[in-house]
Amino acid sequence: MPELPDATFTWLDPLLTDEAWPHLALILRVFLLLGFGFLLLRFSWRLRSERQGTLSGVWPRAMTGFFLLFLVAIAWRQAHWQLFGRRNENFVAFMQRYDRREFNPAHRVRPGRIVDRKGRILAGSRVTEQGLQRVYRYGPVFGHALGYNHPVYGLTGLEAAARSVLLGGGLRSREDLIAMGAELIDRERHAEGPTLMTSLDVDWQVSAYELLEGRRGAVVVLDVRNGDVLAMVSRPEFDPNRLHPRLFAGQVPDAPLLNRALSGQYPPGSVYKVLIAATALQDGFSGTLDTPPDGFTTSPANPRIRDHQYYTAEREGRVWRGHGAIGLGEALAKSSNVFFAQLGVRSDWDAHVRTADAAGLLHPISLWERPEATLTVKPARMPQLSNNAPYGIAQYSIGQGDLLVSPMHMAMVAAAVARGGQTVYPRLDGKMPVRTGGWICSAEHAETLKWMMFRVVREGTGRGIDLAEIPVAGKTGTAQTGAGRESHSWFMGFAPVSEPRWAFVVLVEQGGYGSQTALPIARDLLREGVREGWLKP
Amino acid sequence: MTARKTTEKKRGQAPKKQVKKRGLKKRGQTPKKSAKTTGGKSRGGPPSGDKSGSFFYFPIFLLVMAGQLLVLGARTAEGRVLMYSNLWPLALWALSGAVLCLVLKGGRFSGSSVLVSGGLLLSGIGVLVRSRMSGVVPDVSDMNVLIQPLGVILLLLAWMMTRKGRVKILQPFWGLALLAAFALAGGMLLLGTRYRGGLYAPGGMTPTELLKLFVPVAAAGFFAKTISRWHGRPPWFPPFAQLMLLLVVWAGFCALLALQRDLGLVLLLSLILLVVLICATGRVSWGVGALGSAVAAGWGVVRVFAHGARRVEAWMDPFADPTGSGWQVLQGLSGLYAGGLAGTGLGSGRPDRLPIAGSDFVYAVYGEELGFLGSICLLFLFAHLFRAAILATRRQSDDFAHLFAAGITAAFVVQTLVNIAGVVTLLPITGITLPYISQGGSSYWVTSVWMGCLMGLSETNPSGSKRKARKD
Repeated sequence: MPELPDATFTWLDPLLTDEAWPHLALILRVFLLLGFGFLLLRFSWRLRSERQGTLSGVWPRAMTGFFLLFLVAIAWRQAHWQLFGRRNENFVAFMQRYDRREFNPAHRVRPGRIVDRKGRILAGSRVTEQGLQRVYRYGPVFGHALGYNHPVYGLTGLEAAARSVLLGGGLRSREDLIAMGAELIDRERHAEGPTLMTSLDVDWQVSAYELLEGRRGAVVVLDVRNGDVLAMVSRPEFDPNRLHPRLFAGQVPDAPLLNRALSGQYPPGSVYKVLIAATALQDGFSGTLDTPPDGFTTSPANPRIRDHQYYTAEREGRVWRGHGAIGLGEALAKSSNVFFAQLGVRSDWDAHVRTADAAGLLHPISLWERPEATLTVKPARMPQLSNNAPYGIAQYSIGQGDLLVSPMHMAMVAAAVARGGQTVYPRLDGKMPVRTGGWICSAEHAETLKWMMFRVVREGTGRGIDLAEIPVAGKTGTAQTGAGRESHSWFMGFAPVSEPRWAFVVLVEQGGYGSQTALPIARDLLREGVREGWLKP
Repeated sequence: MTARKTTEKKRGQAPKKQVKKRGLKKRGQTPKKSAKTTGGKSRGGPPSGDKSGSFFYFPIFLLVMAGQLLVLGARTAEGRVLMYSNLWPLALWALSGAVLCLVLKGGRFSGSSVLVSGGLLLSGIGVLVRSRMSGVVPDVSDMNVLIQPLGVILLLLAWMMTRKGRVKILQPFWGLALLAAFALAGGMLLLGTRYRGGLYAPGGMTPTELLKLFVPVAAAGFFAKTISRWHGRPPWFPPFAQLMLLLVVWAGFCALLALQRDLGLVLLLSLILLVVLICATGRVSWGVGALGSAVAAGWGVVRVFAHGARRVEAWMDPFADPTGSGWQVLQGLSGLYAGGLAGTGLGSGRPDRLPIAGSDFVYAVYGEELGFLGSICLLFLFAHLFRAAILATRRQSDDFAHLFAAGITAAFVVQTLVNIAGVVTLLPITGITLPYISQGGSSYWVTSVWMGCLMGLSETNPSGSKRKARKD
């Protein structure tokens, strides 16, 4: 290899000073691009004039076309990464983590804000020395509703499902297109992703959170008309701003990371009787059933299903005489296990499954749906039964046995009754279309059921929530969880009765009777809402 | 394909415009286009208008100078001192380019000037990109001063050997070229040393680059010899004996290369053969069938070879293993994203962040610094060169010359497209270099020979149209 003379030189330095160089560099870059373009133009003209003379050699046009198509595909693919790489969340994540080009705008890309239905900020991003940090304004209050986005512990919940939208991914609307165009020109200024408006409401959420203080359980509030999730609280809570390593260390007592509202699995107990009543009404049940004081069973081998008054009386040394022959409305108001066990067995098992399916219990339901990610309600666990197992059906009919549901499911049931029988799927994104599911019963029967639930509040087990401010319909539930353990306490309902707007569910783990623990929480929630004015009857 | 009539007949009677007919719709039909001015050049050849002699040498020189200034400025901004050795590649490029233009002028070059100017511009861009990487990216150095002058010498030799129908002197050597290709592939297998998964001859040379010249010669010779067998057959019935011969020889050759794990070269050479096959038979359908079976076979081969499978996986989903198999591709793409629409400016990117930036991923370096706009310009430049090369192919009336031109064109096009497609994840990474821009002498020189051949071929023999029509 020949060696050519080499030395340093300085005669270019006057051009390369700090003052002159930036301008000169800009001029040179523009010149380079324009000159290149100009030359290409001349080449095109020249080529056109060169395409003369005899062209007899075979070269199929399809081949030329294929090559040109390939060039276009290359340009398209390159644009996909080079211009619109921001739309690919994995790519942005890779660059933020592994790209050491400090000028790469990906390092300044941060997820957009999450706001509630009135525009109050729930989560935002901050650039610190350590990098990007997600800030949750309400801390643990929205911990489960939003999930978290943490550099070490990753993403969960809505933060995970909405990640690509928050980073500016996807092209859904014209605003997205405009944002993308603006981004091409000035990428630093458009480094923060778009703001995401959720259906959540800070008022409902904060007050439900405070009412659950010191409990393990969940509260869900839905807008009956469109399925908007107004509140979704689960406690014990965690603070997404300060995730502690202890949270992730194997078996943690009370599982604070579990979103009980969506993923909890609980026996529903008596609140499930509403669905059984819907099935029976749909099957044409009317009239009365006798409720013998010593209970009901399908065969002598099985223990008898009794009303809770039987046990209370037994404890107090009294004799329980039974409700006698009662109708459906009275049975619901008194929450008679004996009645509903008989009622359930009268219906076909397939009819029960149909109703559960119509209520949306059997399939995952997404609160947030995008092609790239979803956030779903865990399907209920349905017992595997048939008409040959009447005792199982009898247990199912009082919300016990192998049946496990999440609080969100029962909120959907309450909303379905309030809406006249049709299920509405919950949504966290107000821009999502309203999605309705099956009919748990006809509109006529739903109207009957609605007033039966009102009767529960007026004269039955739910008397504690018979508010003067707002007429409420509801159902209590006390779900047994095994021998020697306190029952789960449920209350589900909707208000106002004549023109329902809000459906709600309160679950307190091992809270005892539904009317003693869950119901007061629901009552206080509604009272506070009326008092503060965000709940108008 | 070659039953041709002279254009003489209609020449006198067509002052009005004729309908353009490109390509042969029917065998034996001759598309004609009369020169705009009847008093122009000789028949057959491209009428070199008053401007076709100019190669835009000075505009291109100016452009590359501006680029070099940008590179030097960025180098100073980084705090490095300027050395005369930084200027040598540009000076040698300018000198070689000037010599090239002067020799072409002196030799009364009458072919496609787009090939000359486009090649000049492309090699100028190559000088800039390499100069930008020198001292930053390992293996890239300014001091390899032999590349440019030797490239021009090879180019001129190739030009002189192929111009004006002289290419036919290569025809008798097609068998030799085939033997040489086998010998080269086999010899590398025996003597080569392994580095980064590829085989290299002592001194880091890659003599397998020569295959990119031998294979077009061999393929063109084979098809020129057997062309009558391929014609006049129904589309579903290729000649059995010839096809079997071709398949057996080709399979053996590919096996030799596959053992060297050079799957990129297998792909490139197979596509060259495919294009020659299509041009020889005029049947795209046979080509498509061959392509289909080749893709199926390639799929099987890739599954067998571990490093091939890894590359395909990295291509299908680079995020599956971002720090392993996807690392290189994703670093290249990160550079592209960092560059954005306008780029960071020549010299201001970070090619040192990119593994193997000099050869496989040079397009990512270019795209980072010149931006999407610059990349589109480069793609257009390639498109112009492709069209000029295709035009040169279509100009040929001799069987061997035509097929040889088709092979060279295919080599140039495929090499370019496969390299760039690998960077932007349209195809898996193949280890193929980008003509004239990637670092490395062998690749540069082979590209020079290609360009020389295409330049020579684009000059049609003035007496070509008088040649006798092939009888068959």
